[in-house]
Amino acid sequence: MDVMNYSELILRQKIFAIVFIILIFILTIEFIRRRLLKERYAILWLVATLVLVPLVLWFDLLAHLARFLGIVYPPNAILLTGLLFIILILFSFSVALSTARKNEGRLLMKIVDQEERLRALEKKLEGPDQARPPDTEEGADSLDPR
Amino acid sequence: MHRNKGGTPEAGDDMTDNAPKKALFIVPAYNECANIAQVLDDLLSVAGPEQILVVNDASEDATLAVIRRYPVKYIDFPFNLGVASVLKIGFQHALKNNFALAVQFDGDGQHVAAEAAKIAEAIRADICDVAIGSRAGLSEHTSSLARRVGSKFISGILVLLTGQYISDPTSGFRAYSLAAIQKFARDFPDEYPEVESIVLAKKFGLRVKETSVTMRPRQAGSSSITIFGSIYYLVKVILASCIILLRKY
Repeated sequence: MDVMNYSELILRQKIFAIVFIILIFILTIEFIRRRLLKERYAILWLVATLVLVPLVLWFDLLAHLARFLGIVYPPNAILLTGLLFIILILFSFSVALSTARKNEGRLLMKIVDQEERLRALEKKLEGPDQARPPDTEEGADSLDPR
Repeated sequence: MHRNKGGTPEAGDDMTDNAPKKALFIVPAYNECANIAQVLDDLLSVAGPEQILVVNDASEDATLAVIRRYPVKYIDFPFNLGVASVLKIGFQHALKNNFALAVQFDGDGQHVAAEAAKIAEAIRADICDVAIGSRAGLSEHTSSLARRVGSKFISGILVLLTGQYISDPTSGFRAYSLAAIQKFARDFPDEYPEVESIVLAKKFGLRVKETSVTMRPRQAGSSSITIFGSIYYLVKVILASCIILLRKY
C-alpha cells in the first residue's frame, strides 16, 4: 500500500467530498428540471450542499465551527452538519406525508358526499316507485378501510 | 346598468371574430368571508354572473356560504391548494367554456372591477398576451416597507432573467389572452405563480406588458407573511424561475 502523507489524505478527502456534494447538487437541479422533484422538497437538499461546500474547502472555517461545537477532529463537523441536514430533510418528509394523508382524507369525504348526492339524484330521476339501479362498483362505496 | 365586458349577443351584433371578447373573471378566495361579498358586488357591476368563477380554496370560515348566495359559478376545493392551482383550473374552465380572455381578480377586495377594463383592453387590442395591472407607485398606504423592498428585489431578478422590467411583479391583477390561457391551462407554476408565470410566459413566447391601475388597500383580515415565509418565497421563486429557463418548452 502506498504510504501517503497527511496532507495528501486530507486533499483526497476534500476532492472526494466536493465531487460528491456537487453531484448531489446537479442531480437535484436536474430532477427538478425534469419535473421529478418539486422545488419545495428540493430546497433543503440544495441548501445542504451549499452549506457543506465552504466547510469542505476552507479549513479555517471548519476549524472554527469544530472548536465552537467542541469537536476534536474538525472533519467530524462536516459529518455532523451533513447529519443534521439529513435529520431536517427527514422531518420535512414526515410533515409532507402527514399533509398528504390529511388531504387524502378530505378527498375521500368529498367523493363519499358526491356519491351520496348522485344516488339521491338517480333515485329522484328513476321515480320513487321504481327499483334503484344496481351500483356499478361494489365495495367502492363502503367506508371499510382496506 | 348591467354592462357586460364584451356584451351579451343581441340582434344586430357582429358574431364573428370582431365581436369584443367576453372576459372570464377568476376569483381565488381563501378565508375572505369579510370581503368576498363586496368583491362579487363590484364584479357584478361590470360583468354577468356567467363570467365570474369564484374558487373557494378550502376556506375555514364562511366564505363558501357567502359565495353561494350569488348567482356566480364557483368551485370548492377539498383542501387548500393555493392561488396557482386556482388559476390553472380557472384557465381550464375558460377553455371549456370558450372564453378568449381571462382576468385574475383577487378575492380580498384590493382589486377594483372598473380598473379591469384597462388590462382587458390591452389584451383585446392584441398589445400583449399577459397584461399586468401595476399599482401606480407603491405607497406606504398599500404595502409595508418589507413588501416594497422585496418587490424591487424581484423586479431586479426578473430583469436579469428575462430582460424585461416589471415594476409590480407580485401583482395578481392580470388579464390573459387566449394564447396565454391555452399555454397556462396545461403548464403553470405550482406555488406563488405571480413571478414564475412571467418567466414562463416569456419562455412560451408570450408578450407581457404592464399597465398602471389603482387598487384599494387590504380591507379586512391580515396578510399571512412571516420572515421565514418571505425567505422561502424568494428562494423558491428564484430557484423555480432559473429552472424554468433551463427547460425546453
